[in-house]
Amino acid sequence: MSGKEASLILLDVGASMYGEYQMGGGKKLSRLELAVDCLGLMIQQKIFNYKNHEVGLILFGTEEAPDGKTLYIQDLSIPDLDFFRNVSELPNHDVGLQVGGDIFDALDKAVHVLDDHTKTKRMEKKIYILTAGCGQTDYSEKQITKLIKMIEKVDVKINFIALDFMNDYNGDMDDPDKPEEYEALNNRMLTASYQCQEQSINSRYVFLMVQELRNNMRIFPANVAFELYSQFHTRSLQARASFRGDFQINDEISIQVLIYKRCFEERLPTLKKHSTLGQFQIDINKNHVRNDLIYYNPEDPNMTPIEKENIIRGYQYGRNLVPVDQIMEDKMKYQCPRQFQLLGFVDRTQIPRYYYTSTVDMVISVENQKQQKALAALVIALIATRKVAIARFVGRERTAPKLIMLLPHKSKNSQCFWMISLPTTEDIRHFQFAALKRSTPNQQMAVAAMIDSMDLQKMPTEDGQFEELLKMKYVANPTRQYFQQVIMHKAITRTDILPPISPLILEYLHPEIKVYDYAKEALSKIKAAFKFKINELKKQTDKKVFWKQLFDQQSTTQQIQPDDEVVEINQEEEEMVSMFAKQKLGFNDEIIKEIGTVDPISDFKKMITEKRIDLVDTALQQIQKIIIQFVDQSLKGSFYPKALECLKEMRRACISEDETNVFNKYLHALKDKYSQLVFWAQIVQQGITLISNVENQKSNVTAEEAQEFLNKEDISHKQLVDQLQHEEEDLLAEID
Amino acid sequence: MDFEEEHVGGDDIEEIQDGEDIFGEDADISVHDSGSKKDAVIFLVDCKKSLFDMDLDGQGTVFSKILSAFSSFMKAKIISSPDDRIGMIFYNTKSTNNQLKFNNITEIYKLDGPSADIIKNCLKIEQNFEKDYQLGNNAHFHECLWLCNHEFKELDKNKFNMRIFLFTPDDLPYFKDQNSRASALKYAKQLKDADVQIELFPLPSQNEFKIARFYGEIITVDLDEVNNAVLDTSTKIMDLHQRIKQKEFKKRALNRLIMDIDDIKIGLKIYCLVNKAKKPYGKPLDRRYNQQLKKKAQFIDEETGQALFPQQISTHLILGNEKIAIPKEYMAKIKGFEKPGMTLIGFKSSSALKDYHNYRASYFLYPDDEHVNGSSQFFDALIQQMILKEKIGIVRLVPKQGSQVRFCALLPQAEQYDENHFQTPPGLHLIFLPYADDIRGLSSVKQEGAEITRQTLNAAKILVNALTIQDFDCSNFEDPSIQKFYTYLQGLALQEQNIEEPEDLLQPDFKGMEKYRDIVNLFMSNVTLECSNMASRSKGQAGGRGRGRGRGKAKQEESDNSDDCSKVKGKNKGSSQKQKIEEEDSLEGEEIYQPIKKRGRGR
Repeated sequence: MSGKEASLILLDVGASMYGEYQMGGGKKLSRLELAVDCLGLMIQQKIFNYKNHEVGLILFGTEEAPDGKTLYIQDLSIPDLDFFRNVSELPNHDVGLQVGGDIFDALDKAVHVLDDHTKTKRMEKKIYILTAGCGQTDYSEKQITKLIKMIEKVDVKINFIALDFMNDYNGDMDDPDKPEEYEALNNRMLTASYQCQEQSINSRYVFLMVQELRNNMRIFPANVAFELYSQFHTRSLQARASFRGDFQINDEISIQVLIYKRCFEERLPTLKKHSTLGQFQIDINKNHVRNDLIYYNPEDPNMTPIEKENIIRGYQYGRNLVPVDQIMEDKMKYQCPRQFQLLGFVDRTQIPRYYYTSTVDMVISVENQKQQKALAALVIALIATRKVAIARFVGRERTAPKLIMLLPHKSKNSQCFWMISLPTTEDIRHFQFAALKRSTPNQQMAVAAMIDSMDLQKMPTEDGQFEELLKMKYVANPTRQYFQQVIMHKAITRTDILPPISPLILEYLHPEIKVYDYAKEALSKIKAAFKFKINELKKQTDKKVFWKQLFDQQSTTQQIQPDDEVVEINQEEEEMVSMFAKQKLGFNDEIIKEIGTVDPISDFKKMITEKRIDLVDTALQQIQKIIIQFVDQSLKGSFYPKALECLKEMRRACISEDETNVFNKYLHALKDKYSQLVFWAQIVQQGITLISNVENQKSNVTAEEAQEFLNKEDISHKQLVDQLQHEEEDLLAEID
Repeated sequence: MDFEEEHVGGDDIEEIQDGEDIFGEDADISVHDSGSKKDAVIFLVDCKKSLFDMDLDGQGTVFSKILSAFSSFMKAKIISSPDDRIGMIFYNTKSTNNQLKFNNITEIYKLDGPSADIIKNCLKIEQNFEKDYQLGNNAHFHECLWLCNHEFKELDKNKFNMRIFLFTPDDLPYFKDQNSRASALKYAKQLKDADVQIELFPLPSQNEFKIARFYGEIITVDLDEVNNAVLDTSTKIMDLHQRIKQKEFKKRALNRLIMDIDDIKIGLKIYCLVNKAKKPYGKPLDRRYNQQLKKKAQFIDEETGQALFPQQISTHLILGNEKIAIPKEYMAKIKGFEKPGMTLIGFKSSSALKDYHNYRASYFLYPDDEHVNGSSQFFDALIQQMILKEKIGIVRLVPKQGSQVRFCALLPQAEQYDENHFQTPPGLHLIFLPYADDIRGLSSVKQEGAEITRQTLNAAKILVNALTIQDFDCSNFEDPSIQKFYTYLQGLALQEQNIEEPEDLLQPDFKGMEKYRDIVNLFMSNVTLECSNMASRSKGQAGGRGRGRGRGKAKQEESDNSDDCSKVKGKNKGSSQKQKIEEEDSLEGEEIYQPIKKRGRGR
């Protein structure tokens, strides 16, 4: 699609729309006012953000219409401010005689209008219909079926916004794949109570339509006004691939991929300058300002402009300013051909979250079975092994390469990577920080209670339910919201008065009001547990003590010998020194000869890399025992993760120390011993297999045999592996 | 259809060329390191014979490592903070050359800004050492400290952080008598009082290096940085390269602020642990005279041609073909509806922070106990409990007057040490959360999930495990673009004729990957085979993908075959491999790995 879109709005203006909106949660407003608010926001979005979206408006349920039914008041066209002004005026019209409009007649006409309008043009076609469903219809089921066919043929997408109507409908339950829920929904729809006969009939027809038009129709019972608002608030762009090319696995093999933007800071639009010399005119061709930029010699009192061809740039190198002409400047740029190359895979834990430094893109494969399968297999394998891919990425021809990371993501039935830039050595600061002052058990308890009572995902509501506050998915940028509100207000009123920020925005911006109220008790306990004291801010100075003063305190906590070499320190510093003394700092440098159960991996690694004596054999023997000990002592698999990490570390060591047979023999032994346990399933799920001769030449196992080792599992066991995989995927899956 | 996709379509608002970005480059907490104190460092090197021995790793002498550390330290400074000062002093040399005429002390580089010359030439000091300096008698240690102090005296204490990097293989310097030891302590005290910090870098020698023997009395520790690593006395302190890297930047807080929790106030300091290095902006020069130029913007009213004063210029936005006046004062009000500060709103489960919730670098929060007593203990309890309960914090943040209000996640990090005794500091990472506006709906992107067989998945897992980089560290990668720019700039500064291209460390190691070619091929042949199987199946069987049911007999026969086949090895590897996979595949049936059962439709 070229991003063109035609939306036709069908607004019910029958008397029922003037009734009070029942789900307003204490805010008094009519259904029509709510509908118009939503439309206003939508048109506002179109004006602000989309150059080629056309919008039209049809009112129905008004006797002013020539046919007594529908009144076409705005042709499909690119909306302007006048359109917006007209829509805002709608609720001020007199209440009509009809209770509500004929939904299906309106839809029928709208589909035809859209079909006529777009004809051969490639445009996305949409209908928004807003109604309370109280209008009478003379459509029969047969006619509805015809209408459904027409909608499918023209390929119109219908958004049905039901105000105080169809509240029993639940889109999530409307899924034939889930027979139980589907059945329940059917029953609910059948037994629902309605305000009037018309609503009942309309509801039945609408439900019928949505059954047939699963891909082309969605119903929004507007019982959460806020969420409805947010749908209009957010702006999404036509997704356009920013990169199309090969993701190279090695010099021969690659996967063809597409890259799209996923997360990116949306900034406020740019303001333009105008001159205030003349009268301000809304005409965009008036009051223009030209910017003449000149460069001059600071020693020249006349500030004579220097010609462009004589201006080059100088760069600071240390204390020298190095002149660089244009030719050299181009030469200094590092320019690569477009490239996307795998560098390797890395354990997820090795990349801390704070290394995510950029916007996020999405990488998917092109529409080709082989490419899709290859990418999907990599994504799922990375999820299983808890790893990410690291790659070199040059997005455009003749630009610089970036170090990027690909995080696997699986949603419903599709797989993709999230692509994020990583920092390089130039960007990373290794700062040292003092250990924290230890908290007391009492303080820990107070904080634990505070965290529990400030759980945003479990805030109790008035009716005893729980709700989630601040769902970021629905939180629009309040500054952008307010900015647009101000602009629209100015556009309509043409005054200089700044409207106050909408209370709706302020409400979602301050969820802590509810939270603090609920957490009152826990917060007062925090105050009691920590003796917070605010001090005057002094100018920051470094507080230094001699190393010895700390060290001596470490070794002899009680007695400090009055040593004339030790310099006096002030009281504050002394307090800190004695605080650190209690916390026993420093490291133990002894040779480790035995792997303990507390930190077996670290012990094992130390033994393997110990240069003072050779402990490789001992370490390998001990780790085998430890793994078995962990597995055997596990209650419901409690130590399996630890055992697995040990096994992975052992595999690594066996590759680097040329001890492949030790590992391969051990893995066979583990299989014999535990093949019926979840532990073995976890090994297979994480793809831990025999060391092949590809990884270490000393091995007599081929890569194919290593694969076969994983493949050959009995059925019940495979189910177990799959289940583990699902659990792993669930961790990363979208919880909506 | 999803409502989300309703707004997909259309273009980015057009960038207005000479218009003004309302938010400027960065409307939030200043990210730049400059502005606060500058750094002044003297490398003080004890020139002992053992420095010219091979280092334990056999890659060059210890001395060469000090020189290369010095060179890369300077390089890093040139990129990040060209106004810093660096110097180098050797002691126990035969030569004598210093301002105070102390014997056996040679000042190699006076404290000065980093320069291209030094970066280039300092590495040659080793080969010329015999000629230029030579090993000599013992210098008086207190004179070394005296000389450093003298150098630092010329700097403004309020503008510079002053540090001495002391490199020595001996845990006790030479003292003629007790007096000379006392003088050393005296000068150390003076340095401390002058806010000069001595960082000790013990070098390998035959004897164990005991800090407590002497140096503990002269090296200082910043009370803001006391942790296990600082009091480390193990052999790990010998890791020169890593330790210098860690000391490269003097720790600086960007800001101090208060986090409000209702009426509770917690003191915080904000740090920037990752800051994208950028190429500098060039300054305008007149090419003829190499004269730096000044820039002046002149605004002209196009209708009258009159030059305008700033107060005669206002701003507007174009909307629906109309101009709407939005004076600058408006913008301050539009953005100023929230007061600056940070407010803790509550907690969410750590799984609520998704991988794609990111659009910029994060900050690091550390308690400011000096500002609010109790903050450090509060952080300690908070971090522990958040990790225990698997929670993240959610805060609302307005960094300063006039910046946009944002929600951020607080990610707890407990203090940890790695095998090399490097600290992962305790604190909270501040991660900026995207608004709904910032997340691109992707429902219009055609995404099709692919089913894959267990065999292919296993092959993929083997590939992933085999090509895993152990001990991955981003610090091992350089940005080739920045490196090239500075290498050229250095070459130009030194007027070199042939500038050597720096190595691009971001290249895939195809050679190293060569040995894994079979594993990559195994993966791709599994994928290819699966596709061709599916194609033939859909041709043959109208029923589509069976799960291998009702094919028991065929399976049995094939399995007999495959047993024989799997014994075939060697020679015709490529084809036998393919054959084998085919048979395995049919042996197993087309067992599709079952994707997650979808959890309902839409949102």
